[in-house]
Amino acid sequence: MKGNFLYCSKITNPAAVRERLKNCSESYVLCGEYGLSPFLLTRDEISAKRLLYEVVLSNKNRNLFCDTILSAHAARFCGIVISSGSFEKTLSMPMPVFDLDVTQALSLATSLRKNGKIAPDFLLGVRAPSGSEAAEYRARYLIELGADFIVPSVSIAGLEERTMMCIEEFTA
Amino acid sequence: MIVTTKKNVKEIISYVSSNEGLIIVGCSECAASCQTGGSKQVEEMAQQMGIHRVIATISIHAPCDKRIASRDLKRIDDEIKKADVLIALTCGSGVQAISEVTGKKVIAALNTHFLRMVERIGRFYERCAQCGDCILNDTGGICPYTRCPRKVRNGPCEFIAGIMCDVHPHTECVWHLIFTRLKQNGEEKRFTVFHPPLQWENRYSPQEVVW
Repeated sequence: MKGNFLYCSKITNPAAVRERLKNCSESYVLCGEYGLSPFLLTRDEISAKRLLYEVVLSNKNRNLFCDTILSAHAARFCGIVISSGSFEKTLSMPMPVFDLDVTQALSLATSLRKNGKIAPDFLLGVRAPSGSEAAEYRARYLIELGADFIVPSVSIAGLEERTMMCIEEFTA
Repeated sequence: MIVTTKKNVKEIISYVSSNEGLIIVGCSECAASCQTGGSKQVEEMAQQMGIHRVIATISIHAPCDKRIASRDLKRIDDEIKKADVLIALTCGSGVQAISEVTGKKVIAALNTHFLRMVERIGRFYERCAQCGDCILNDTGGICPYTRCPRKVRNGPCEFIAGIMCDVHPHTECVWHLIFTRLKQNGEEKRFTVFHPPLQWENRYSPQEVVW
């Protein structure tokens, strides 16, 4: 197992997140983009823990996606987890827009690494499909394409060493 | 073939002044099979015009083709000269072709939706989103770009629930369908052919094919 992580999906109160991070024993914490930006945490706070940034692809074009990775790298996150993003549609609000899928996004992220724009030890993870033959086929391909680890919802036989699993989700 | 739906008649009438002479033009191709712009709908529209003066009605085989629109509208050339407004029960291309051919004010009576696959009358399904970058040869002839709500071209996404789509929970994930089809054809390896992001310049309007 590559490791477990604590998942803060939505930041609403940065002070409460800071408090939670101080008392957290997990080696990795994944900060989601569904609330306030994880960039509200300071560089020192970020580098004190092994924080991962969840890059959500909905409503993000390829330029913004690359900029977000470069920003997370500059802000001292230890890596990213690429996620498609939930398909939320509320009345009178626009539909989410999807320019990239996780495979295309991973390909862009690995090219940033190859071009030296992010450090080789900056982790590139992806949320991977699981639970069906087609899903597992794709998950294996994501590893072949250059993902350091995958985050499936159920573990996939043979990929345990390259898998990170969420052990607790919270919002703060 | 193009799917169209009717606009509200009150909305159409709001664009017409009471003293204007009208011609109602239908499409006996796509709009007729959608039952939005065939000869029957043209006559219904004429009756719904109330106090407005309808000079003529006509159904054209393919009003989106300027050659056909020009040829067929010549049959009512005199009426067109007298008319102030043409009401087009056609797709958006038809409306504009009629406008360019006649030089008259043309009112769109239909909303234009998508390129359809027909199962039977009243059962129309979108199977091609006209993205300009077709990957059907790698996906067992099933278009994921049209049928996946997240437009995933290398799927499935992580939200697949068993074999079902999370956005449309009663629908099988299109990538599951693709995998099943490729497996039937002995072409599983095509499942992981990498498809780069869509090149939006192929979708930049207005598009032209000229040779």
